[in-house]
Amino acid sequence: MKLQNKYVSRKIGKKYIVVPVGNDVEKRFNGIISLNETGYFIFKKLEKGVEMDELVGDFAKEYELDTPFALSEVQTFLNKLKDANIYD
Amino acid sequence: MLYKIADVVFDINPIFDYSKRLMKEYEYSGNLSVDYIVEYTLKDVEKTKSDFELKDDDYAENIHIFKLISQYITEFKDGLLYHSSSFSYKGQGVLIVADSGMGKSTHSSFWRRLYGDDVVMINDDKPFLRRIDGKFYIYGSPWQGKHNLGANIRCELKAVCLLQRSNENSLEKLEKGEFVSDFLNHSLRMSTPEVALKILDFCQGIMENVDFYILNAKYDVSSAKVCHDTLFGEL
Repeated sequence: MKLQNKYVSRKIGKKYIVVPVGNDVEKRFNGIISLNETGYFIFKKLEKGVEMDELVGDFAKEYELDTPFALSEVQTFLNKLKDANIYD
Repeated sequence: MLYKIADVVFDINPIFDYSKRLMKEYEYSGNLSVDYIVEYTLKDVEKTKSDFELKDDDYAENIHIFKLISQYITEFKDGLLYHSSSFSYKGQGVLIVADSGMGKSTHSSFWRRLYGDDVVMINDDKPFLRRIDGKFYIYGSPWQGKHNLGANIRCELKAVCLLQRSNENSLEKLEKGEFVSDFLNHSLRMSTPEVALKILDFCQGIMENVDFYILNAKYDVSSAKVCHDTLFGEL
């Protein structure tokens, strides 16, 4: 799993901001994603490229979550990125 | 013909009269050199007309000019066209930000009603913002919204108010430097990574240097009084 190179990111205040870019962005997606620490943890892993199992495992370990909960959190997060068209 | 918009000198030769009329106030005859020659053909105008599903050529040309100018200012002049209603109060710039139809212009009209000549409209719909020597300024632009309110002036930006409809009036100050997603959401579309980074950088600068407020506003003049008293103290 890896992100598409169609965004820029930057830390502003306490948030990590991810902005989808492209000429047709406006038609598909209107928003800007702001990530907290947790979201950014997953995001960084996806930027590097990671397998689902490994991602869920690392996430569960880092934040002391049980695996099913970590999995559902990761999936929700991935859907958000899909909506923003920066993850297929 | 030269035009000076947001302290940037453009050389533009509109094909149709509509744009000439609209930009009349911004004609320039001074000695500053031209920053950008706005060049396009009728074909480019046709494309804008079809992209935006517009009816008239003269209006399409105007939108095309508007697009080129705002892109240039974003890319090269540390600025942004910002959809908002803006005015100066005793020389201090206030930006009212909200989605279309939420009453930005109406809120500004309440200020004019209460504070008369102390309120000068900079632009009711599409002012330019620029950063010059670390300070942020609001500039008038030829695109003044449906009530055609504004002037060819600039004013230092003191406060950004994010307007929300509410049953009670209040103005809450946000923590300095805090990320304000609603502010970024109202900026230009992020066409390329370079442009997106410029916009992010500019917005970050504003968030770190200008006071941001959430303005909960009733749909009457009392909302302008609460906003005024919090920003500038009671009269």
